[in-house]
Amino acid sequence: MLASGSLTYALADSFNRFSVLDAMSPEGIWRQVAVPSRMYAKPTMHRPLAGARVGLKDNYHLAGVKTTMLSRAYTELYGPETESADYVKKLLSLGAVIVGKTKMCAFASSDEPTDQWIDFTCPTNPRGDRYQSPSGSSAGAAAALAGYPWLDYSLGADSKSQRRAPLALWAY
Amino acid sequence: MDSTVKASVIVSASSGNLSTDSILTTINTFTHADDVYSEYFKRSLIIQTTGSLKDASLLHELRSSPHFDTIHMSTVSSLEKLLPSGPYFLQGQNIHQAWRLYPDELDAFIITVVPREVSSPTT
Repeated sequence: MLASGSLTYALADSFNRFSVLDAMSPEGIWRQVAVPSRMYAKPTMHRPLAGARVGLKDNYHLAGVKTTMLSRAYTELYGPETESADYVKKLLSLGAVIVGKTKMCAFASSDEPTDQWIDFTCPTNPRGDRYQSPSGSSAGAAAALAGYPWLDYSLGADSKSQRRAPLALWAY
Repeated sequence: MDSTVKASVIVSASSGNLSTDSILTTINTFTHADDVYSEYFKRSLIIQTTGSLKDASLLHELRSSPHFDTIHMSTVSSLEKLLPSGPYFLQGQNIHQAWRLYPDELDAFIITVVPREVSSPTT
């Protein structure tokens, strides 16, 4: 007899705290993103995002991991977050599967990639010749959504044009 | 205790609704609906039902079928306890969810994460 448990309801509670995924691609170059089988959770009226793979811009707090703000100084100053942002909690309650934090301009500012990104390097824009600007500030969110068919949603944030600009460059 | 990890598929249903054809049809839906599932999972089949299999000949039929190398049976006490049909990893007596790894070759992520607790058994 095999051990088993009820996944459907356990998923709702147990997806609330997160750990860093410590995995590299086989060549040792890229960090890995983990996604669950699409067979485990089907969207319902109450949990429309059940099973949806979601990336969070790294100015949204996620319980259990650091928020870097893409700033070395900020990363050094604060430990892992103990609580998720309210909006993230809402997404989790709707069934979202958070797969990672996406890159942005430091503090979601208006730094222009590539040479104004000082602490961390900017993502690759998968469009065209792959050497178009990834824009910003939600550069990673746009790159991931445009470039990865396995990702369902990407959260950005826009106070001035930091979400609309990368989307304008990416959408195709 | 055997600690080798084996890629498996679970097909779960209330007992009485299963046949070799229905099991194969269910598994075929994984191919189209799920990027995590691959044919590699298919060789080891776990049938999970709410009561003992009413059709005793089904097990014999599945064991003689060329589709599967091993067949396991799992019984749970209620419909709510059935695991969703799909790909899993079997290690000894334990069933684990299957997650797929994709490389972030666009360098879009600064941190990648997994939930701390993927599932907890019901009491």
